[in-house]
Amino acid sequence: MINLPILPILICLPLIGLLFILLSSENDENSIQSKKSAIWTSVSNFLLSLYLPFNFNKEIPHFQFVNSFNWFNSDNLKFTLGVDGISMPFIVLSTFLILLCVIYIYPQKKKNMRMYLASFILLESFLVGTFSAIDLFSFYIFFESILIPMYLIIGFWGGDRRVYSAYKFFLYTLIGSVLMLIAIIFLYQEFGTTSIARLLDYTLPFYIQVWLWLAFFASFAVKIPMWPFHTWLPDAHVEAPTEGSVILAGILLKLGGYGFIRFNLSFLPDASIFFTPFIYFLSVIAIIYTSFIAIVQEDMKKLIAYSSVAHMGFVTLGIFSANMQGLHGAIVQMISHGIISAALFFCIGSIYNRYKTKEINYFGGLSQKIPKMSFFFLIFTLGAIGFPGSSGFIGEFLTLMSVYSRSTLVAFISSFGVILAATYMLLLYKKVFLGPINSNIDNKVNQLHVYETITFLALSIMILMIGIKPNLILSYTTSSLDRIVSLYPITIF
Amino acid sequence: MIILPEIILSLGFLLLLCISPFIKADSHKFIGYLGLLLIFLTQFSIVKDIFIFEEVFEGFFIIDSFGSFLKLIILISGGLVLFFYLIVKHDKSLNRPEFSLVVLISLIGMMFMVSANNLLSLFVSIELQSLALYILVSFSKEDLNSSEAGVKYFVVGSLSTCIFLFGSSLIYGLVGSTDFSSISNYMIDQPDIPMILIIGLIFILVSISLKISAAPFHMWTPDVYEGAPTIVTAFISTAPKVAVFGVLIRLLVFPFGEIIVDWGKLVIILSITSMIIGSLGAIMQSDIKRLMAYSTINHIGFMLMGLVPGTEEGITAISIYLILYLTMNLGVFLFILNMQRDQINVTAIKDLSGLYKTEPVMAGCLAIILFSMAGIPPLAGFVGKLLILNVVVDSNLFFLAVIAVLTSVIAAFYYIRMVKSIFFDEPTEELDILTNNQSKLLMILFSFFNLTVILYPQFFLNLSASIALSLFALK
Repeated sequence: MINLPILPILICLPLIGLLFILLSSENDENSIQSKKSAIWTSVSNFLLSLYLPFNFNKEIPHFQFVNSFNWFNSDNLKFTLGVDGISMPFIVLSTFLILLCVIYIYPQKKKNMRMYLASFILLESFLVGTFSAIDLFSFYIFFESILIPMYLIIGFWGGDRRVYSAYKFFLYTLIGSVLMLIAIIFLYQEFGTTSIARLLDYTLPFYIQVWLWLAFFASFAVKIPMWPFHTWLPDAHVEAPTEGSVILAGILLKLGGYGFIRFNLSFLPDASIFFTPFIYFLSVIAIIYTSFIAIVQEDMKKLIAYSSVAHMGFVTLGIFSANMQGLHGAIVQMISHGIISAALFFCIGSIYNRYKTKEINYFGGLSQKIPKMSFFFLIFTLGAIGFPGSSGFIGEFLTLMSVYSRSTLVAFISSFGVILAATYMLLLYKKVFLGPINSNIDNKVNQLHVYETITFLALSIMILMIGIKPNLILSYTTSSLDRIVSLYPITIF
Repeated sequence: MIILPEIILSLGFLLLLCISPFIKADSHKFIGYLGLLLIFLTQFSIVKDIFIFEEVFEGFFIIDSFGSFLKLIILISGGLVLFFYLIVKHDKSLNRPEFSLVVLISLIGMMFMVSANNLLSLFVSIELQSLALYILVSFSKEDLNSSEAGVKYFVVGSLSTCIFLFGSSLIYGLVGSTDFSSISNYMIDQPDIPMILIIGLIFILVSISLKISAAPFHMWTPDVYEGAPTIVTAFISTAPKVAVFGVLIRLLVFPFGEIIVDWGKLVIILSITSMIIGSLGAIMQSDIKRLMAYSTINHIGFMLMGLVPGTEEGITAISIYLILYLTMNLGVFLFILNMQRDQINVTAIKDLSGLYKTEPVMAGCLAIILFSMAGIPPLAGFVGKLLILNVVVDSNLFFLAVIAVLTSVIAAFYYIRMVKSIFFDEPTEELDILTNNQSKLLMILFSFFNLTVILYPQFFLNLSASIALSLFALK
């Protein structure tokens, strides 16, 4: 097998595409040139990223496809890229969703389209970088860099309160991650290395673990987001443009969960056990409380945003249960939520493009007007509820099973979240698509065009595929998770 | 000759002074370009002898690579400001040959400052550069604000001078010499350091804090930055800051290195107050120049942190931070210089609104520099912050590191507020901005530098490590 430096290529290719986009003609009517460059870049990057799952050795728990570059003249501080079973699915998810975003953007008109596409392609590079960095400093650099394009996407192309939301997003995330920076520097000073693989061999005294755990927690709890650090999310989602919301819900939130698994759980086992009740407490509140908030929302995007917080509550429950089922559940839940919430945001975006509003009460009986969309929306709704056969079911089922082995009470309470999810999602579907046609809706409506159909179809297939055969993901993650699970006793409480 | 650079600059300055009255047309440009040539020659002679170490004039001055390196940075930033002066249109009152000459003489003062090895020579050279700066600040004779700023700067500067003299006299009274090595030897011999010496040091520290605008001695900074002509603000926020920081490092590391326990706490207090005031003070500002004043205070506070451990790594980190700070600051000020409406300079943040529509390239460059100032990776500002934080965490000063990162988040708010104005706001009235290609090219260069530092940080580390080493060779 040829030794392709696949990860550097995945990071650099979007940057080359970015150059093409920026150099494309400015006076172009529909910015066709830049759109074509963006499509080519994202298609080739997605196809290249498929190289990873096909050449991945499932038996090896360590990092694979490792490429390391001299950065500072020191053996301990290198720019290192690599993937293991935990990060590999997320890289494919990132390239997949960015590709769909670019396809979805293709027929649209927007102000300054070149810059819009450029931001997404730049995001792709940073996202792949974040998931493939296996050195603390390179991880931090990619992790933070994401703020810049995302800030511009929300603030420039967003809705009416875009500026406020962009600030809130930027500052909330920044304040969490700077504390992580101190923790990273501390780890470097303590052990003289920032390589994640080598740091796994060290153990720290308990009281230091607690502080480091809190520093990492500050960063990822804001990112994922956990209650009560979630308040930036509804604002950012409501104001962001459709594709911005897709990336935000689809991938950026997953950085939090990924970080919890990669850092808090792997490096700091004692502190993780210590804080598990705390995490359970916050997660249960997130699941129940934000679900209730979601039920009363009048804005579709806000509803999905609050439901994201609730779904992420399951992810944190699964992660900190720290057994194989829990971690599997958390990873599947993250991937599936990445696909489902992205799909829902795409749908809402399509509705918004047609009626220029996201008010739930404005609609009614939409299924008679746009039957194809109502079909796809139903699939996505069932996925979000966790209907058996969809990917959402696998995630929630595994998570609840693992939590049950830890604490019956927590499992009991959080399983109500599934019912609540059904409540708000089905209510949404009923109000918008079923019933008599609302008088607001005029007769002439564009049916789904081909780009939308491609997007929705691809996402539905993914939901069903993972739902029917979760081993597609789980077979990759098992060996890498084994090491983490072995750090934790079978009974915590 | 070991002090060749200073001699070249001084003689050249005198020559330019003599010929300036005889040039009729566009004399300020002619003298300006000659001044640039002179600076270039001086740099060349510094680079030639950069690794030489020698005491000259019986220990009055010291030539080492730390000093030579700082002189290079000072001259580069001074030269760039002079170049800005030549390529950008100004108010008529600034178009006089004296402007370049005064810049040159203050550069001479700074060069002496960073190589001073005696409290007396240090005092004289600080005065030389300060007096030149007072003139520069009040250079727009017709402009009331400029004169007011000049007076303010002069009053505060004289106060700082008095305090410095008082502190040195205390030290002289105790040690019996003003020579740095005598002071150092005195402290090594003494089993416990007399209180008077520490009080003397505190006075000197306060005086230098006034010059460097570290809080709580920062009060003059926003007013002077706002009142002075923009080109002068660009100058006083760069070269003199480097020079004074150089003096501070040299003083604290070499003669007073023995009492690090005492001055370490003071520097911690200075840096915490600077970071807090620098970040909170700027939030409500609506004028870019005032905002940049607070930004300077914030950056100074961040750099002071690196001084606290008094180690080589600290000095290395500070030197790199200084270089990166200069490129960011000069970029922003070059932009402000070009902000004009109907031939009049405007400096309000709201004047930036909708810049991306009229000047997309410039808007992008400025945004990169602003994000860099906020310390967002992968830009240059982050590298500087990372290196300083590394030093701070290494010496277990976690509370300091936490305060530093939290204040830098607050500071990020006002930098991204400017980015917001550039991209998100609708244009009010169009600026006729950046009409000349040199400015555009320079802005692109500055932002490109800020983008790419992350790829070769080791180059700067090696450079700064070697100069920090030369500083510690004295001990």
